[in-house]
Amino acid sequence: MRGERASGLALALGALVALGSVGLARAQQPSAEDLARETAKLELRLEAAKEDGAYLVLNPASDALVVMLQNVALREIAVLDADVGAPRTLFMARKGPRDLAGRIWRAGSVDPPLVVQRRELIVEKIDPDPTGQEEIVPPTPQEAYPAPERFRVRFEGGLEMLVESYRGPEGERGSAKLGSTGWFRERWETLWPGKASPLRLRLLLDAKDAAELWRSLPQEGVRLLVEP
Amino acid sequence: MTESLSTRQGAPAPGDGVASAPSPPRPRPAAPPRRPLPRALWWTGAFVVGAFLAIGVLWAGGGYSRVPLDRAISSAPMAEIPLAKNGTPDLRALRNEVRRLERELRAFQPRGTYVVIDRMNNRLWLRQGDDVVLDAPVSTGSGTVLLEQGSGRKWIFDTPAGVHRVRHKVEDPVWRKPDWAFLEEGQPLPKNAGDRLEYGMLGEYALYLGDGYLIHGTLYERLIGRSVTHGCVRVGRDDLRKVYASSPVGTKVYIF
Repeated sequence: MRGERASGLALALGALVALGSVGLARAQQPSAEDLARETAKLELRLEAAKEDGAYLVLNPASDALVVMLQNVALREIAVLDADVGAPRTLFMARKGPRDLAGRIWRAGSVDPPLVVQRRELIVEKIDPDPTGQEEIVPPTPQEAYPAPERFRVRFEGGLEMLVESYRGPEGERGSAKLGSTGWFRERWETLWPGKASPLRLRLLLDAKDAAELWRSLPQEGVRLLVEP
Repeated sequence: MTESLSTRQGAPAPGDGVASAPSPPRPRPAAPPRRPLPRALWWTGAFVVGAFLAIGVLWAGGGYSRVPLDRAISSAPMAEIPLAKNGTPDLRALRNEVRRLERELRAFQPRGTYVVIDRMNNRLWLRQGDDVVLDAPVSTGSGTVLLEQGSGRKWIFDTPAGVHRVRHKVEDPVWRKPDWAFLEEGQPLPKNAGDRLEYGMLGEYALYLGDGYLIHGTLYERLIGRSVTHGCVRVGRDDLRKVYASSPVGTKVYIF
């Protein structure tokens, strides 16, 4: 009698647990909106991966700017600070494009651009005694292409990505604060109509990372995907 | 005739020995009436101050608004939601679509180790998924343009960007010198194919990427980190050993 009761109790408990787990699983299932968002995100990633050339992916969740090629991470750069802004007139931000994360920004041109130095050798005749030639030790990339403190990538559609270098103590996070020169420079830019981009994404990177990024970016046709 | 002016005005002359009474305070000459500022000057001043104020307000109210990135992306884009026959969102179709896209994206991912080369910064990374196994300085294409007058042949010594694969691997590789190597050295092109072979120039190992491009070693280790090659990727001896050991034939090589 007692054994029957115990088994009945165990059965009831088991049923309860099963029902509970089914309910929990249902509750944890993503909604149609979540799935639609995930679909849109994956579609954008796939679109970027299918096109030729390296592209940038900015992931706000992981504070990283990733150089990618065909959906493969080539290089991750830590973003020390990032903000988004629009030019202001009389303390009011002008209206710009809002869909920062819903598209691939294309045709970005780098300012100032890196101009590749090419040495041209013209072979006119055979030099019978080439031993007299001096060995030329070319400069390192850092010497040949010193990177600017800040650079911009202007994309089609009105987005400007401003990359600023942070030269602080190693391991210390950058500060979002502008220096006085930065404050004046920003105001000077936005004072003139047409000079400022309608939407600005400002990234603060470690100085070494920023310099290497500037050198390795394709000078025309940069693509950027901001992950939602 | 010689009477001084002070004597004439009643002031004691020096040395006359007479104590003089204090002179009554002289009446101050009346101040000339203040002339009002000319109206034009007043307006000019007001205009200048106003202009400065206006520029100041414009200036201070300019610049950019600032919103932290994570707060700026409040709404994520959404794909169209398909509907089932009963008019409710078709969750199964959405899930299938997500799986299909994930599969397609996974197909791009290399299996195992892959090599990444940053040709503008002369760096090579050996990666395994998210992990960086090796970070090494290398030498890449110099960007030099070699032009042979007469024939019009032209070579541009760039390391080609894009996705490549290790086609095959060789220990103690022998360099078969192409025409440009002779032209550059000012030597005539050899008639015998055997005269093109050079031993030891490519270091201990070479990984062939196709179209004459290789990852290989070098005799000139001091030039590692500089853009000096004809398009190949030169790696230092110890790093090359690691790259060679970890990259089987078929390994993907991403150059950007």
